[in-house]
Amino acid sequence: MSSSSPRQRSYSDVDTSAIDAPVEIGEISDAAPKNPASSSGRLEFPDYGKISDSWAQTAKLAGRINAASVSQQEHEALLRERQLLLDKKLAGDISRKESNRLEYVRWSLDRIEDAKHGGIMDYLEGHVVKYEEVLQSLQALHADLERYSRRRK
Amino acid sequence: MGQFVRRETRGRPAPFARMGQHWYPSFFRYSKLLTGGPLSWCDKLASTPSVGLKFDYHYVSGGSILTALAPLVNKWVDGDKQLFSIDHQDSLSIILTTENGFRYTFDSSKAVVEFKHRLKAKAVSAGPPVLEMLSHALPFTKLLPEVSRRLVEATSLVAQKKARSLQRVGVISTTIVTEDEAPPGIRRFLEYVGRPWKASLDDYNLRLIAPISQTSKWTDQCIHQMWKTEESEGLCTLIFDWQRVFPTPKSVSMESLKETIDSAADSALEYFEDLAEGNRFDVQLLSKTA
Repeated sequence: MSSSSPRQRSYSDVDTSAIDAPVEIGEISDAAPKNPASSSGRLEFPDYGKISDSWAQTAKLAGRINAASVSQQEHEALLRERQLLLDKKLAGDISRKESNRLEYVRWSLDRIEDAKHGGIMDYLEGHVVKYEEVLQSLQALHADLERYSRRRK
Repeated sequence: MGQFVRRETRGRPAPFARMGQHWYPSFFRYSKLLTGGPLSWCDKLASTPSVGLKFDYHYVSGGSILTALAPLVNKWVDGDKQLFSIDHQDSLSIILTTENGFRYTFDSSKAVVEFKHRLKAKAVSAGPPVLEMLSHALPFTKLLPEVSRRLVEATSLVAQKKARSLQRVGVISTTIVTEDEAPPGIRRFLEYVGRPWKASLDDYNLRLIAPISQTSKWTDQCIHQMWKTEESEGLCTLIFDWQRVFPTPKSVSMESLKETIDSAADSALEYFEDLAEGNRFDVQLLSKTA
């Protein structure tokens, strides 16, 4: 299962500026003919200023909701296709295109797994990080205590 | 959406059926494949769609466009609450956004409907504000037909049932994702671009316009835009602007417009899947072709 990116913070972290004013996420308007003379491929940078990285936060949430809605049949078909391609790989007669397809099927399955279990994994990851911080501070305390006990001797 | 081809053998359906370049088990014809296709990577990464049309020039004022759209706009009210805003209006164009995230842009030659997520920070009693999402988190493949439907509906009002010459149809997917969570094909492309420096790139801005296919009636091309800035906390923005260009402008009635857009959307989705799979960026396959 692909780990959830810590850079995409959880929904509850979103900066709440502009209270009660609807805020649009991002300013990517590729085809919008704001300047009729420009082509539809005009490049515009996203405006993260007002709401920070809330696009990423909501996109992650929305992506998980979408990926979780995958049908059982589609999920099983992906698992079956992965097995078929893995069999070919183990038999040593997989083509490069099939190998790329295998990578894509694995990625798709990872996304579905992330949608199903990513939320709770993020929660657990948060706790693990906290425990690691506690461990580090305890180790620092232990080191300090040892150092002082040696001085007294 | 999606042409479903069944392989028949001796009068009975075979166990596999083709969708685009791939074969799927036949039972899929009873599932989402027939109605909307399997989930695309754009669904899994919550990409947002836009559909745009470019017609021959027909100059009318921004006010006239709004008047033409009145039957549509008049529905965007809930009690006394107006559910849309006019973002921009000038002498020849207008941009409207509905509260649930559909933005309509019309000017003398272009008609565009795009979807963007919208949020509202709401004040609560004795507590910090809470965020309310005004738009619905629907999959890309569900949003795309809705965006297309809204575009046809609005365009037919603005065109007032007159046939217009269509020059281009565009289907755009916009995705924001970290590189390590991007589809393997996109990662492969970015690795390919970064090879001379033997490192992952912290900041880039790429724009490539590439022809995809050509027939006597149209040319398909895609504008690929990918960028990441050092300030964007590792997030990169991917915009794939797939376009069907008609060298000889195609005269379309509003009835045939839906068919034209649906056909373009099918081809665009197929191309987006192809990008995600990444055979185009595979060094071994490329060297064989060369």
